[in-house]
Amino acid sequence: MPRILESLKRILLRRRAGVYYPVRPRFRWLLILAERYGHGAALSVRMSLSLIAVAHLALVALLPGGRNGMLDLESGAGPDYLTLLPAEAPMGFYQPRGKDGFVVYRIYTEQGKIVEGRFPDVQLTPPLRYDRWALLSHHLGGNYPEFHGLFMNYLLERLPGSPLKLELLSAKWNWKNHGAPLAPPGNGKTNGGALILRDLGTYDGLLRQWEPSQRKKRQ
Amino acid sequence: MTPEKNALKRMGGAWLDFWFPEPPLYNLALMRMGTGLVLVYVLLVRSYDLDAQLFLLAKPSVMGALDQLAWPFSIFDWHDSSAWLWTVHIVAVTVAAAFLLGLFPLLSGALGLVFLLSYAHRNPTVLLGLDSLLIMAMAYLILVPCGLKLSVPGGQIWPRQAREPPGPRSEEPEPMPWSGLPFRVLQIHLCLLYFQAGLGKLNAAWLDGLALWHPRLLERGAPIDLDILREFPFLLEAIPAGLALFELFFGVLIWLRPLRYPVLALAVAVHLGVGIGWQQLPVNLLMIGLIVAFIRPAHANWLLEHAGQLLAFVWQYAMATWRAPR
Repeated sequence: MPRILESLKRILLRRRAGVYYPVRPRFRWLLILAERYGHGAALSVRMSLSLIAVAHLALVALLPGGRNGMLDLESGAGPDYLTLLPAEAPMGFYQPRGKDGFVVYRIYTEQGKIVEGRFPDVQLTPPLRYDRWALLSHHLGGNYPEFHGLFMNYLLERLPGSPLKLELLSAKWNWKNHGAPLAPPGNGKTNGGALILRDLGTYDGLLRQWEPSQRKKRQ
Repeated sequence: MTPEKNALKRMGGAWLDFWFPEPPLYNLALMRMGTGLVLVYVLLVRSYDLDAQLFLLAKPSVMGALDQLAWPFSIFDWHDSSAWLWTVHIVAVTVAAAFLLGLFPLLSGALGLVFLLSYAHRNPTVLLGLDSLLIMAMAYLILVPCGLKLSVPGGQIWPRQAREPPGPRSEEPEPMPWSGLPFRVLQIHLCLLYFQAGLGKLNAAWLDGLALWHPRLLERGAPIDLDILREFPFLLEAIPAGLALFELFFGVLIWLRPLRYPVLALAVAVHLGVGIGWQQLPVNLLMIGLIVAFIRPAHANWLLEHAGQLLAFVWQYAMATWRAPR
């Protein structure tokens, strides 16, 4: 607290307790003003702050993260930062029908082999890394051809050689079968009906060209 | 004064007393340490994939369409190079460590918040619930005197205070009179968060027990063998329903004095169970760190002031038991 306010506070406390010290005339007006209006001003400020807090909490309750799905409302404004409800797993659970997509790839090697895999690797540690990559893989399922191209470049950088062809697919769990426990997808092909696959594009190793795909979902 | 005016004055006083409590310094220090610890961990784990997630895959032209947060800005966008990325990242880790230690928490906390938002805007496709919780926690903690206790020497609210010569005024700095308000708002925000999480679980998929068999959980392999639950079918229904009920009513029960500690104990058990069983320890530890806000300040003070004695007693007891002739 600035020193002048501290000394003013001390003088006011003394005066309230009946102890009066002589005050220099040029500061007397300040003391009189503070005594007369200080309490009222402090009360008004405190009351206003508490009402702002109530308004903020109302935003938290009604528009978490700036959106209310039930009332179809959207604020799209700055307070989103403070009212941000954790988007995916608020209390550390994976949510059913949550963001659970991943990427399946098929590599045609120069030796004539076809290697299939999924991204992210389920063995990735610590689990936080896996969670981040899993969320990124889920977003790859959207219609963002440039993003798919960047991801293909990332995959190519990690491969030991240059493939003849690389196919990228986005995979999502089919929640219509949620009554029965689902098994892990393995290579992403063997779990008939449990996955919804979508082509993202193909990389031609001979032409060194990436061809994004806009085909419809297939099951 | 008329009775109506008297009642109004009392109500106004009670209202202000509720919103402006005395900030509990030890609770806030514990919350700062919990949040700081998780923040440091999160940033260190980010180091593994920093280049891939924030450089190779995070082109502003692509991420602009995916960024749902308002006010898109990122310090990482100031210069498009891997060296700049690493420089900012190292500064962010240092700032997070300073916040954990209570070194100028207002400054380090505000910088930490700016860095967190920079990561979030640079690549929003890797923004987890944990990051959102961290942003929320940091935003509140920088408004409260969380560095007055359990901090490194000299770690005061603002650097200027640390440079002042030691004296009776600078030895025990007092918190600002309004600093209890953000603490109270944080408490209520946490209650709303639990309620909204509980509300989100009131759907057929969750209540059918899908959370226990979620593909993400199965493919990673849970550290706890959940197959045991198959032998107790009632648990398959009771656990999801119980969790939803707990989260729905947490915000009410925590304010009832006789139920406060049982509810807190249950919350800690739930978060530890979920954290270990679902491999989501950081977010659950952060929640445990934040619900320290509900411990009564006198109890937190007593616990921390006697923590040394308590640990010494437990250690001596354990050693005596170990060395006792069998």
